[in-house]
This record gives sequence, C-alpha cells and structure tokens, in this order.
Amino acid sequence: MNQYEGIVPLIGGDLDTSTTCDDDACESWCEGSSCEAGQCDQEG
Amino acid sequence: MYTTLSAPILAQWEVTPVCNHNCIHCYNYWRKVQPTRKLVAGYIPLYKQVVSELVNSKIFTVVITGGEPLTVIDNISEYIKELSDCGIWVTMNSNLSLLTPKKARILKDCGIRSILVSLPSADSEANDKITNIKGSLGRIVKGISLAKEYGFPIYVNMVVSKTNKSQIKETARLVSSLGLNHFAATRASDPSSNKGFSDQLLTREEFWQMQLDLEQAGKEFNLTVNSLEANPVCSYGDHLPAQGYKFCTAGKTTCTIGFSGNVRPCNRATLEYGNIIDSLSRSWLNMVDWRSDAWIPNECSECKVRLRCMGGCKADAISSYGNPKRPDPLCDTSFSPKDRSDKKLGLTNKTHFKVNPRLKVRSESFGGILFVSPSNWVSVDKRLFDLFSQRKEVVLLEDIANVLNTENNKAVSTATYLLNKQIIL
Repeated sequence: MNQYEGIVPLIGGDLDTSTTCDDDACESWCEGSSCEAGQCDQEG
Repeated sequence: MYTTLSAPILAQWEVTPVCNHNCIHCYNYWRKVQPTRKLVAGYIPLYKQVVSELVNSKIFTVVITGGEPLTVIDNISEYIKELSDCGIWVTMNSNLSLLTPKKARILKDCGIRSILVSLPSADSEANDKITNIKGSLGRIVKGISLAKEYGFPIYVNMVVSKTNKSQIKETARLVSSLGLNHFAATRASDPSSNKGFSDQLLTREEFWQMQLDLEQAGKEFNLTVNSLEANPVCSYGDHLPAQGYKFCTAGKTTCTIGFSGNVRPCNRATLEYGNIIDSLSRSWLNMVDWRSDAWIPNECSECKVRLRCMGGCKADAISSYGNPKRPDPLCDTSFSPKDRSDKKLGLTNKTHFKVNPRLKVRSESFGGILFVSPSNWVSVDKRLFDLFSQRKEVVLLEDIANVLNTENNKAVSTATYLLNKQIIL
C-alpha cells in the first residue's frame, strides 16, 4: 500500500524513495537516471 | 509496466553527426564511417520543429549532444537560446577540445547551464589511442580550463575499457588538479556500429575493480563520483555503489532526437520510433516496449528489483545478443539483490514549507509532474498537482492535509516525500 498519499507510483506500485540529490550537482550529471545513494548531496 | 507520461522528462538532442574525435568506444551508430556533412540538408526547418516540439511537449531538460556540438555551435546557438528562453534547462555534452573564448561566450549567451566532458585518460598516449587524435589530451584540458574560466559547472566522464582501466586514479587526480569536483567512470559498451571492439569490454571482475577504483579515487581527491550507464543491480553483488543504482530511463522518462530528426529511446539505441517532423508525441507513444515488462529477461523472474532494473541496459543486450530480452552482459543472475526501494524516510516535524523556487509543473492524465531537476521530480495525483500549480511560495502541512482530506499526521508522510525530492524546502 502506498504510504505517501497523493504521490503516484509510476512503476507497478513501486515508489522511489531514493535520497535526494542536490540540483546543481545533478542536472546533467544524473542524466535522468535514478540516484539511490544520495551521493550528490555532498555537493552544494 | 511503467506509466506512460505525456512526454519525456529529459531529451537528448544530437545536433550533429560530426565529431573531431573518433573514439574507439563511440556509441554513435552512424560512426562506422566518419560523416563529412555537419548538418543535414534543410536543417533549419527541422531544428525549428525540434524546438517547437520540445517546448510544446513541456520537456523539462534538454542535453545538447552529437557528434561534437562545438563543430556546429555557430549554426545552432539560436535554437539553444530559444529552448533556454522558454524555461528549459539546457546542458551540453562535449569533448571541449574545440572551445575558444568566442565559442565559450556563445555558450553562455545561449544559456548552456553545465557541460559534461568526455576525458578518456590522463595518460596522453592512451588518450590519443582512444580518441584516434594525436595530442588530444592537451586540447581537452585547455578546453576544460577555458570553460571553467567562463563559470560553467563541469562534470568529467571517463569511458572505461581495457585500454584505460588502470588509469582511473591518475585521471581522477588530473580532474582534481583542474579544480573540478565531479568525476565519472563509465564502462564502455559494445557500440552497435563498431564491431571488433568487444575484446575491449570489461569483464564483470574488471567492472568491479573499476567501481572500487572510482570510489577510492573519489575519497582520495575529494571528488563526487558517478557512473553514467544503467548497470544491472546484481552486477554489484552486495555492494551499494557510491553513486547509487542507475536504472534505464530510455522510453520511460527520456528519449533522444537524432540529427535527422529521428526519435529513439536513447543515444545508444538504433531503433527509431518516428521522426520529430511527425510530432514527438507519436514517437514517444510508440516506445511502449521500453516501458512494458515484456523485455524483462526470464532469468530475472524471481528478482525483487526486476521492475526497476529490467535486467540492465537494453542497448547492451541488443548490441551483445541482438535481443532486448536477454540480460545485460554484466548481470549476475545467481545473485539476489535486496529491494531497497521501499526504505522508510525519517518523518519531518516541519509544518511550514517553502516551495522550491525552481519548481516546474506539467499536467498528466493521472495528475501531474512536479519537477525540480532530472533526479528530483515527483508524479502526483490531481489533488497535489492542483495545490502546487497555484504557484504559492509557501505551503503548510495543513494545506497538504486539506487537499488530501486527511489528518495532519498522515500528511506528514507525503510532506516528507516531497521534502526528500526537494519539491518543498
């Protein structure tokens, strides 16, 4: 069951709870892929 | 099955087939013979159509790539500027060896936000061997330094094959010495156009070593590390890579527009699903196989992460086996990865949130997309979409609870999720 009401899972009920990345460090860096380790948080 | 969005979140645009380098690992499918014509005949109406389709489809981010974009920057800067002026975040992939002060100024003026640079090796001999151009390392380094002077955020990517696998540390050292903070090592894949490269591909053990070398170099030189390919989760064994898992986004949230307007799921895929002249939407909707479960390999049927991983890179499966339903060559299907996707987030105790000033929204059939960056976006239902479409500077926990018609304590989970994705701050 989706514990985050209002959030719509796009893959078969699987929500992406990956740790956030910092915007500026990740804009082209992540190339649209999912980042799950939050490594980008290290950059301000 | 991945929900079909109205359009990609991010599109790569191959603005030219021509490159001044001829890298042995180049994934451009047309590069068996070096093309001579930088722009297709009649490119002006075509590129106007590309811009129009990207803007009207409400694409959030565009990556200008090629070929080498700097070979045609004088011709295409007006189109990049139009994308930027319409609020699209535009970045560029380049080897930077052709950068001059004049071109750097053009890039600034047309709104390029950051540059992803291909740097094969800090060893000049290996660099020349990989790029097939003598003296290429010095010119890349000069270009990086110039781009840095002009204030571009720069991200360096090293494509790793047997030729340069032992040079990750020294290449990271060079990146650090140039005053940069971001370094990626990405495994080379078998280019569909360049048979004969397969003996250069890393084995799984060499891939592991690449990952370890990358992480060690990141620590030693204080670099943020990354790897830009979608690698299968099982290829890492129990190890959680420092850069996180990367899943294939081709045809799900991203696509590529070729220099002749053909639309493909990703840069490496040779399969075309239409032409931009006939609308981006038509091509996008045609990519249904890339969103479906049909290409999940049989070997992955018991895997807990199969819906996200899908057996790794489909372009690799196609180039290696001619079959997208085969597992990525790096898959170790004897290993069962843990499902880390449902980890619990630490609940926030905030009740008052600033809406990220960079928030952009796009309506979808299920509600809409709240977008901050390619890695920070959220798909929400109509209730949350309407709340955030109001362009408020601040939202309260109470506002979220009200639109969801729920108690504040239940709205905390949703607020936490939105915080985690930087939709609210």
